[in-house]
Amino acid sequence: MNSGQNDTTKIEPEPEGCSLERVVSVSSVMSQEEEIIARVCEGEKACFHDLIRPYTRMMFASALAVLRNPADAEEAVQEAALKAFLHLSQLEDRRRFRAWLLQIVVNEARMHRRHLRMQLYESIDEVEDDNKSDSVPRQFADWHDLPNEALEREQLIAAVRSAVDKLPEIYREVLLLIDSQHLSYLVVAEGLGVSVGVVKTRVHRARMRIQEQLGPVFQPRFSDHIRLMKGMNPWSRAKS
Amino acid sequence: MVSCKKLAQNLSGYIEGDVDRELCGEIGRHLSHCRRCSVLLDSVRKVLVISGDEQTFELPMGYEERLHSFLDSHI
Repeated sequence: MNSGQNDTTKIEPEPEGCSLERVVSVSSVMSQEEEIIARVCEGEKACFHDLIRPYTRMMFASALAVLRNPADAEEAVQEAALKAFLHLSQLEDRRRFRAWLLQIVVNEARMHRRHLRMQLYESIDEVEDDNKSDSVPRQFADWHDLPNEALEREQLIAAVRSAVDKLPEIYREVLLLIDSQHLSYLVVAEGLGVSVGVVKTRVHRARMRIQEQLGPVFQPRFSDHIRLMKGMNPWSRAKS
Repeated sequence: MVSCKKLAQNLSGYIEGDVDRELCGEIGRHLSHCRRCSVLLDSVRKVLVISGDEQTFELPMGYEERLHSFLDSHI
C-alpha cells in the first residue's frame, strides 16, 4: 500500500518558506501542491507564498476580466489571496486548489465591483448565452493581404486589448482565462461555477466577437497599398 | 460538404482538435477551396497567438511584490 518513501524522509525545519524541491523529496504519493497545502494548514504560513506563486498571473487576469481596471484588480487579488489563506483548511479536495482559488478571486472581484457600483455600466443579463444566438461573425478581419508594416506588434496588442475590454464580462473572463492564461476548460468551469459546455460556447463566441471587432481596425489602409506598390514596375505588364 | 456557417460555428473546436474525425475532414476540404473561411481560420489563430502572449496582458510593475508583501503583513 505504502511506497515507503514517507517513512525514510526526514523533514528538517526550514526557516524561510519551503522549496518545491524539498517537497518533492518528501512524498511522491501526494502532489507537490497538496503537500504545500498540508504544510500551510499545519501552521507553516510562509509556504502560502509558494502555493500561490504559480497562480498570481491567473489571479490577476481573472480579477481584471471582471473589474477591467488594473488597480482594482490588484486590490481584489490581495483580498482574495488573504481569504484563500484564511479558508484553506476548509478546502476538501486539495487536488482542486486551482479551481477553488479561481472561484475565490472571481467572487472577490465581483464583490469589489458591486462595491464600486460598476454594475450600473454593464449587466451580464444583457448578453445572450444560449445556443440560439449567432456565433458566426458578420464581418471579419482579412489579415492575409496586409503588409507586415501594418501589423506592428504593439498595434496588434493594443487592438486585441481594446477588443477584449469591450467584450461582455462572461466572454471576457473565459477568454482571459483560457486563451491568455491557458487554463483548462474544466478548471475554468469549476472556477466560474458553470458547465464545460458553457465555457466552450462562451470562448468560441468571445473569439468570434474579437475577430469581428478587429475587422475595421485592420482594414488595409491606402498608405499600405502605396507601400505595396513600391518596388513594382508599372510598365512591367506592358513590356510583357 | 460543410457550409461556411457550420464551419464558423465549429471553428474553435477545429482549432483545438475537438471535433470528430468526419467533421474535421469536411472542414479541411471546405478550407481548401473557400478563401473566406481560410482567412477566418487564419485570423482567429492569430488572435489566439496574441491573446496568449504574456505581453498582451502584462502584469502591473511590482504587482507580485506588493501581493506577497500584503500577505506578509496580514497572515
